[in-house]
Amino acid sequence: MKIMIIGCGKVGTSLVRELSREEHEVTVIDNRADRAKGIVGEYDVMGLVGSGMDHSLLQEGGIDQTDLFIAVTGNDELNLLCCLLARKLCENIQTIARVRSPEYSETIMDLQSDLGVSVIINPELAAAREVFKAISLPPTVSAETFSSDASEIYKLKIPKGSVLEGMAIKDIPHKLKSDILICMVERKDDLFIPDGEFILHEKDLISITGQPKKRMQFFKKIGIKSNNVHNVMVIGAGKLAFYLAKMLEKTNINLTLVDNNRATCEKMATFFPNATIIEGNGSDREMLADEGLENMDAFVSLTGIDEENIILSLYIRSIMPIKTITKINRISFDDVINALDLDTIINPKKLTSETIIRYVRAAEGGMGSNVETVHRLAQDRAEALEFYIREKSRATNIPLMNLKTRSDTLAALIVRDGKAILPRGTDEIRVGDSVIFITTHTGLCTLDDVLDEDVL
Amino acid sequence: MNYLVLAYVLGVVCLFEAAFMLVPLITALIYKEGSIAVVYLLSTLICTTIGAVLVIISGKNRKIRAKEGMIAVALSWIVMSLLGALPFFISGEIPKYVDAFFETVSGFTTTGSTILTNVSKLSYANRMWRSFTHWVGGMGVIVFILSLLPSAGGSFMNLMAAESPGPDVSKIVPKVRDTAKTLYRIYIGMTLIQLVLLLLAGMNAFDAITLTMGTAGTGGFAVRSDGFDSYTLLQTGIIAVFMLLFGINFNFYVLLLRGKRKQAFRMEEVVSYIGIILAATTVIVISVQSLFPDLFLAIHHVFFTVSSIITTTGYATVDFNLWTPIAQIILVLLMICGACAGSTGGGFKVSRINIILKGVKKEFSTLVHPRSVKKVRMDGKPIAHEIVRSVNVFLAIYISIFVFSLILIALDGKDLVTNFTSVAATLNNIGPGLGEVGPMGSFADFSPFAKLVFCFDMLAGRLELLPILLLFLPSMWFRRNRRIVSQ
Repeated sequence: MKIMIIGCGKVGTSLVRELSREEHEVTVIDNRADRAKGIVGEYDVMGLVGSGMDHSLLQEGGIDQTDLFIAVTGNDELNLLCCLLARKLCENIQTIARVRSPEYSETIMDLQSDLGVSVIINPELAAAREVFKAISLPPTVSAETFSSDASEIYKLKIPKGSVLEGMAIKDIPHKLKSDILICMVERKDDLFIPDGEFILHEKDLISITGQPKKRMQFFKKIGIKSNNVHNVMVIGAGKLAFYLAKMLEKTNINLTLVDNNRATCEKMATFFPNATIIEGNGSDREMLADEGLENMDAFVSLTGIDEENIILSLYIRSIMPIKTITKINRISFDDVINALDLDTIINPKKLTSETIIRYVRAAEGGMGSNVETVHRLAQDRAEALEFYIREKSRATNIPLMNLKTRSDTLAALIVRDGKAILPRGTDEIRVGDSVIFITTHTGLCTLDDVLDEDVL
Repeated sequence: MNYLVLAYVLGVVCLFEAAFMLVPLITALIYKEGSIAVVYLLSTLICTTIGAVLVIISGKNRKIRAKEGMIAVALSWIVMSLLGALPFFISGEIPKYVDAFFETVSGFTTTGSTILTNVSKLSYANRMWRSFTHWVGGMGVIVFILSLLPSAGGSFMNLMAAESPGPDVSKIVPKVRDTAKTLYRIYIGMTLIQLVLLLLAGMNAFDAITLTMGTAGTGGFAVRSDGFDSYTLLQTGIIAVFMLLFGINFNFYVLLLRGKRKQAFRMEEVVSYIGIILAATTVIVISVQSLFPDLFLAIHHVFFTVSSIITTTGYATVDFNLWTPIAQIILVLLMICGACAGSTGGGFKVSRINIILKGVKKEFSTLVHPRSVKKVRMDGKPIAHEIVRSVNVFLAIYISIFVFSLILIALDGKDLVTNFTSVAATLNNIGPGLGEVGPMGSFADFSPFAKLVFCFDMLAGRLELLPILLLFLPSMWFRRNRRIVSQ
């Protein structure tokens, strides 16, 4: 697939990394020569210097043969205009624009088709949705959502002294009487796609699927308390906080929002009369205590500085066992950040690139049973792939125990008629199902890719 | 410095060289040169063994930074020449290893200078190998390997940039591999066209193949002791035109293939290149017309010579040692000027000269208007200040190498013209010079030390000076930082 990316900032760079790894032909345009040059030295792509609005530059980059056009500069208007121009130069091109401004978030959807933009991406809005969902989860539990709400993968750390210590996975259903599936285990630096014989230990990070009710029971049995949220404190009133506040407005959760900028606070106060808006420094301990930190059920740090967010969350986790959510935008320090005890981490930039990659893979697979959503798990060492089964194939209507899949690949969940089914050996994949596979392989696009290569 | 990735690149290069040696091996079998075939078989085995060992010990980390790219390329060319000299040496046809090395370096760098006084004494297989090294060296071995490696990471661009001639190397298409493939497709296509034309013009197959490879790489090894005397005017005419074509920036052909004819013919470098050839031919024809029986022959031979010298090929139909001083001076200037960037030719490159002249013009205009702000432009686009600067630095290094080589060569006690043109001929990858190293002479009489200096000049000239010089920079080799543990 030929892809052109305008803007080579954090999102642009991570897109280039992913897309060039998947063997796409990528051309990057940035108006800063050092950036365009740097990216060419690092990845196998072509870099051009100039504006995405430059007619002749787009042509030099081969816009007429490009399949997908992605505008991710820091400027919303420019992104939209670039897409408009690209559509003008090449009729069949797919376009993706990043638009972040809350002022546009609603009206832009009405204009989308007029502007000829195939997909509009709003990282802050997507991140706000993730935060909103995470708030109601127990501490130390985080979730990955797939296309329907029924399909979710939960990740949690086995607490100290849990009954799971030393238990084999095949014993869980009858010993705990809970019907869930453990589809991935991370132990220190190792990652396992476990089978029935696998023995669990405390401090293992396990990923589970199962119906919501069964899941809650399971949490209770292994010693994780559920989280009933009434009060949330959010530090940093940026765009993400704005979207989050909008979502919380419709619930009965009380929001306390802290920001050190007077103008921002006043603006938020105008929009959200019911929220408690505090003008103050989020890293001021006394102030946090004064504003009722001990009553909070969840704590969200969304300042523009990653380090501050991390320190705040670590502080909160050290004094009280509540849900903490940390926004982190600097992708390159993944391994360091994951080594910290941070609970849920939200990464808007990564969400953006994941969304775009999902779109690329879906566009590439044509109309077959292709990947609907992709989630990177465990620092990119594994992927959860959701397939929608549109047609019969070699994988359908065969009991899973007879289905030969690639090594380290596991069917984690089947969603049929909006209901989650835990795949056991006797279950089979049918047309109309959504199936989630967990795999350590990358770049799988269709259901057939999941099957063992030997079968092909 | 990541030594293991160097081992990997060198290993792959050795393996490819083993494959390249199959060409002379087959030639030896065709011409029933049994003992030479054994020599090539042995050389192939040596290359394969060294290559395999290097690849096996190399690590999994395949990241090549810019400096490693340069070092890897420089070392590759040296190793390639060291191994490529084996067949000449083992077969005993070039008894001294230094001479064999000189001949191979001259081959791979597409110089075409020779230490042989009588070429036809060489076996067919060795002559084929000599010419084949031209063809491989012309477009670049690394580029060739990149076009075949299954998936070369982005950092392999650093290898390509180090090997390709020209001030600013960019990709034609997003992927390194596809870029390399496109270039080689054009290269192979043009080679085949020339080969077919020569065969149609009645040249025998061996000569046609070897001369075509010499033309394509702008190398210039002759395959007969009588030089070009036995070829017809038509045959030499075809070679002259193709020398000129291979000296044009390959981006020109890419643009033509994409149907952007207007843009192609507006490339400043190509226009100046053709202009220089026409002007030089005209002046020399006027000057040496009396030496030829008629005007047509004068134009034919002068055009052939100009085309051969400016593209740094070095074929010669006539002995220009006997031409008028003004003609010789122009030829020496053409030697230094060289062909277009991004072609298979060597020399200083027309685009660099363009940039320098424009820089001079800009400097003068700032003298007149001290506050004026101006950009140096190329093909209508402003070029980065860094490129202008790097071209100036290139000029400085070029002159320094030239001067140092000249001093070292002078120790041999030859005359000034021989010394000056022999350095010019090797540093610019041309082949023959004037005086003792003229088209009818050879480099055989130089001392082994002088030959090594020439080898350095040829490699430096082919790899655009910097990579080879970096080898001599001590700080490239010592590890200062602790190695970062990657996950």
